[in-house]
Amino acid sequence: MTKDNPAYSFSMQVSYGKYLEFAAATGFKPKPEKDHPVVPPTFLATAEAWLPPGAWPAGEILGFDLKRSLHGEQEFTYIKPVRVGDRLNGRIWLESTFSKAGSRGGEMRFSIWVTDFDDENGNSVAQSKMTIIETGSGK
Amino acid sequence: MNPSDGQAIATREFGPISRTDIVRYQGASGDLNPIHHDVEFAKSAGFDDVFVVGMLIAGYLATFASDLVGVESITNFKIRFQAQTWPGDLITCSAKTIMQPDKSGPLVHVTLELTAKNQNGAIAATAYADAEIPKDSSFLSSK
Repeated sequence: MTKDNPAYSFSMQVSYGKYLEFAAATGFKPKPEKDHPVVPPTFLATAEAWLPPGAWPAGEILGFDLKRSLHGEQEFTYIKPVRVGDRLNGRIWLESTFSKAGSRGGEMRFSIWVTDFDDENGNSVAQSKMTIIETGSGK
Repeated sequence: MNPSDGQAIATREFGPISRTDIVRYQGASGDLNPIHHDVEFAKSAGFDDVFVVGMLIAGYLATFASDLVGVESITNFKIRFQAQTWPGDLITCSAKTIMQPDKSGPLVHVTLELTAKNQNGAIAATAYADAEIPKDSSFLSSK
């Protein structure tokens, strides 16, 4: 899999309702809709809501066991601010995988997933980078 | 207090985190991994209980950072999860600043180093938020 052949492509509407819901969940003080407010820094985690129910590329593509998998790191980079009212096109792709010996035995598998977000004109807006780790089976 | 290099500038508490808080975040984000709300599933994976979805802690740290420097100014947010947190945990977020003043433009580059600890002082996550803030920002003058 590559950037040009993503695991999932999706379109997401940055709706005011989702913004309010996310703000309420994270203690963020929302601004009025008429201001087209900038979304909080981790809001693009809601991209997951625009994937098919149960979609989980680390399981589907790499066979990671959900019960042994952890979210290790997460990064969001904004080329320009994302605002309520924006429509974004996203592509999730596997950047890299590697393994290490686990401290409690077994092999730890790492996978780094990138989601590129473009605006409707095809310009890059933001990027998400997620590290998913499958812990060794001898946990 | 002046937000100079490495100085602790603020703290904020979130929680105690309830099961409802977890479910509210999962519904909002669309990450419905049952390990964070289904006790039977969590037990089948070898845990004693559900644990808090890490991105909720990330959301708290991001809210904290946004309130400090302004949500519009943040260009990068990066978090590393270090320990699980559990229902009932009280999270204390703290921030230090790393300044990279650039006198050539109207904006000052600030990196916030953010830490989330539980009520026992264990680090749940560390994060960095990069921000480009106006030279006349109240963050630079009033701290």
